Amino acid sequence: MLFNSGDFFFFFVAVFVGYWSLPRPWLRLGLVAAAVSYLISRGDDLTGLATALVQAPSWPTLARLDWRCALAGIIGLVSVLVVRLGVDRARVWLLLLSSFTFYASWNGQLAAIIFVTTAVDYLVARGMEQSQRPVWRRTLLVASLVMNLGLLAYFKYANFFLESLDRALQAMGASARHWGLDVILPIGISFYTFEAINYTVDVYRRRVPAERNLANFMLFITFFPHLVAGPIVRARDFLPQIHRPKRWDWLRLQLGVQLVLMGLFKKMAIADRMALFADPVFANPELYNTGAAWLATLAYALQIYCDFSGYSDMALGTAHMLGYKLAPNFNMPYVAANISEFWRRWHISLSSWLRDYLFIPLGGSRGSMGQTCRNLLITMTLGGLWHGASWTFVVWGVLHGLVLILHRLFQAYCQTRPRLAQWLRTVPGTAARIVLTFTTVALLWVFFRATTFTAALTMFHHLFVPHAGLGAPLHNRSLWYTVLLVVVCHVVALRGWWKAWSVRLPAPAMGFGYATVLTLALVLAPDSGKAFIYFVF
Amino acid sequence: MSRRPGRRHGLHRRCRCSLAWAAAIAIGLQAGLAVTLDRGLVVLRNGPFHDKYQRLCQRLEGAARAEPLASRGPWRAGVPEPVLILGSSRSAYGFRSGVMEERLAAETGRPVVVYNFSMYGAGPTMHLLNLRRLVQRGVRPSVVLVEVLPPLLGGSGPEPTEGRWLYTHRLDRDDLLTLEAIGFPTEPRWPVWRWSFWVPWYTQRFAILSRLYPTLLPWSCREDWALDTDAWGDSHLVASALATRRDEAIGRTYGEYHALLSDFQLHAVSVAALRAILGLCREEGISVALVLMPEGPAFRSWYPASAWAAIQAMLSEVQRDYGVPVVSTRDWLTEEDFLDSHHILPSSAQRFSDRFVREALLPAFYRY
Repeated sequence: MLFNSGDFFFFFVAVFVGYWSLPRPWLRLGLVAAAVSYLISRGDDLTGLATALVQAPSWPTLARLDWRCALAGIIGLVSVLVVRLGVDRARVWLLLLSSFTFYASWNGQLAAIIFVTTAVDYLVARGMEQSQRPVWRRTLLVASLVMNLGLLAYFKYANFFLESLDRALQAMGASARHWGLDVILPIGISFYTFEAINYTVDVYRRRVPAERNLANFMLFITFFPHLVAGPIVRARDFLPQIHRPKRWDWLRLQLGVQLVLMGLFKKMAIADRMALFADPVFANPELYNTGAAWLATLAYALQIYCDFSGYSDMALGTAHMLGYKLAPNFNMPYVAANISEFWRRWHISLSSWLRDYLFIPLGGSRGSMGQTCRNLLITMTLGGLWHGASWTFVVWGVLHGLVLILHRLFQAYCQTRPRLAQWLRTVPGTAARIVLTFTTVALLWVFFRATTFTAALTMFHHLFVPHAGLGAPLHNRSLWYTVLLVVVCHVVALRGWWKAWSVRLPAPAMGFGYATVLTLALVLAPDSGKAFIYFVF
Repeated sequence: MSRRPGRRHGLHRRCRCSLAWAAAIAIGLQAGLAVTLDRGLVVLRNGPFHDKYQRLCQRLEGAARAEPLASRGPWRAGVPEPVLILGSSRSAYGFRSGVMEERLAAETGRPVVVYNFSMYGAGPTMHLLNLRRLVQRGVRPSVVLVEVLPPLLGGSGPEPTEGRWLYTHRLDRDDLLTLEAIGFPTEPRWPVWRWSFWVPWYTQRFAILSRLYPTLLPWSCREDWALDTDAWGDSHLVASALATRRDEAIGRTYGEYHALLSDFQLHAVSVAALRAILGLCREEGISVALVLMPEGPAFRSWYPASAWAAIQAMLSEVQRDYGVPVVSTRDWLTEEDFLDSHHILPSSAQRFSDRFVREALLPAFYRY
């Protein structure tokens, strides 16, 4: 169930209506009636499933339950139980159960894994909080880290390391062993693992209190807007929000709708459209000429930004509409004037996680320049590996680490050259730095996008050595218009024009704007929805 | 103190109004286009059909200004006889209708209009829909040549293979009812059709962009390709296609068709569609011939013997039941005449069309 799909639209509308209807008895009655009538209309399917369960009760059989039926059942059940639970608790349960339904719509069995690991983390944190014995607390922390990282390693990296070992042994003359494991990568495992780790570490450090209620804690981990592709939520930001009673707020609703529309437009009209330029070239770089290779690189830089930030906008928007605030994940990263600034603007929740839970514990920048550089390299390499189980991601991380080190060294150099430092701060200097940073980042995306080293190197060869071949897969004008649109949007946002205009625009004009953005997103969508790039991480 | 809640209330009202306007405009835009499409904006519902139909009308009206298009009476002396080709890409590239028109006019001494109404990926079901739409619009050809594309007569699922290219958003209600009548499983298509009906800015987006800004679309999504056909409706292979090496092109064709042919089974719906075309022609008094287009030796070798026997048996049965000629030109050309063993090269298309008129069309319909 992709965010940009009809299924998610119906899922979210059902959850949203159920969530805000709970306080009103007559609306609850309507919810129960709607849920029951839907379940009756699906009676044949449900009877078939029940019969199959009676004959062979098993988890895979239960996992065949259609998410629509499950959601209807959940909304009906919560609407009934609200009398006993109270509105706020009922809302937590509604969000929790619908989040599991959302995840189970991909794979029911993997939803069970999240349930178990989350329950264990909950118990571990409670144990750490209650215990005063440092050894016991440390043991519990290590147990939690081993479980979380162990699952991540098993599901995401086991095959990668086994295949790498196999290849290394083959290179040394051994015969191929094909050790591959038959595992499915749980969607979003990297995101919820990091959330669980930040919680247990913060509880261990006594920075946040352990959550006493299992449902609350599970909602923190599985809240569907951020479950599969972030932002990586911090316990200290999210858990207090669960405890706060939620009230209908038109301002928040408008903000949520605005973010969702922006995300939809970024994803459907820009990211998926840019994929039309990038995908064919990255699939067969040897067939294309140098111009097409550069256009594909530029298109991919736009694609990955609009894809991921579009998803983040939709996550933030849907969370807002349910009364929750998630931390922003992007802040116009392509206007960064240096690589350090880029990482403060790109995937902010991951960058700050890596800073707080990896870079600083390693020593951060408190030691010598050499130690700082080492810490940067380790952090970025692991950050690269976090993105995917492939050496291309590792190299991408290493290269980013090296560029960050270069930037540190250059900063130190500039301190001894005040005139150079001064020029770099002027408008032309800043523009040059932005262009250089963007070009570096865009070129490094080649390693991120290429499926193999050979493909990445071929791409670089076509980028820097003039080659004849096929031209861009689509008319260039489409790409340049998109670049222009992105630049204009950045200027409007940077100058603060949108903030100034949006409060003055009359309601019909705002409404017209929203409807136009939605319609344009629908018209410009190039093909049936592509999955978000970060879903696989 | 009293102003702040008031200001907040004003903001809330503004937000509510903005969202209400947004919902109303968004729904209005969708509903407006949906109704317009339903009222017959064929250019967006089915661009290729619309474009070919428009050009056919222009040809017919240009050739016989005295005869209004919608008249359905018998064709008068001096009024050109329309000959319509309903085929797939093979016919689109394979026939040179201008050559056929000239030759027919010269041989019969009567004015003739030959129009190639072929569509890419079309099999008997799409031919039936197109012919029915044309007849409904008052176009009554004197002769229809219906291409039989053997791979699209088959299929192993509930839908025939051709179903893959029968896009639901391009169909209207009548089309779905026509499909239902020939036993096509339309049940799964109705919900998709309803969805496509109510969200036309999404489902018809390729058609919209094809008209407004075609360069935004990759070629595979363009719905304005019929505008590139010539005055007779024929398609012409582009230079990049002509530059393709034949062995590579044959390899691609093999990849596309081998699976369809290796376990080929005639599909009841495709046969029913073919019969429905012949039934419609009989009803309307239209002369019709079934045509098997040329195939290269490589393509011919991919048919299992049993598949070809089944196709031949079916065609014989249809020929017997409806008394229509079946023209097989399968082995008229050599491998060198094809781009990819089934799409004829332009130089050979001319020769093929000329021979087709001489050896098939004239004997069947003009020299009884």
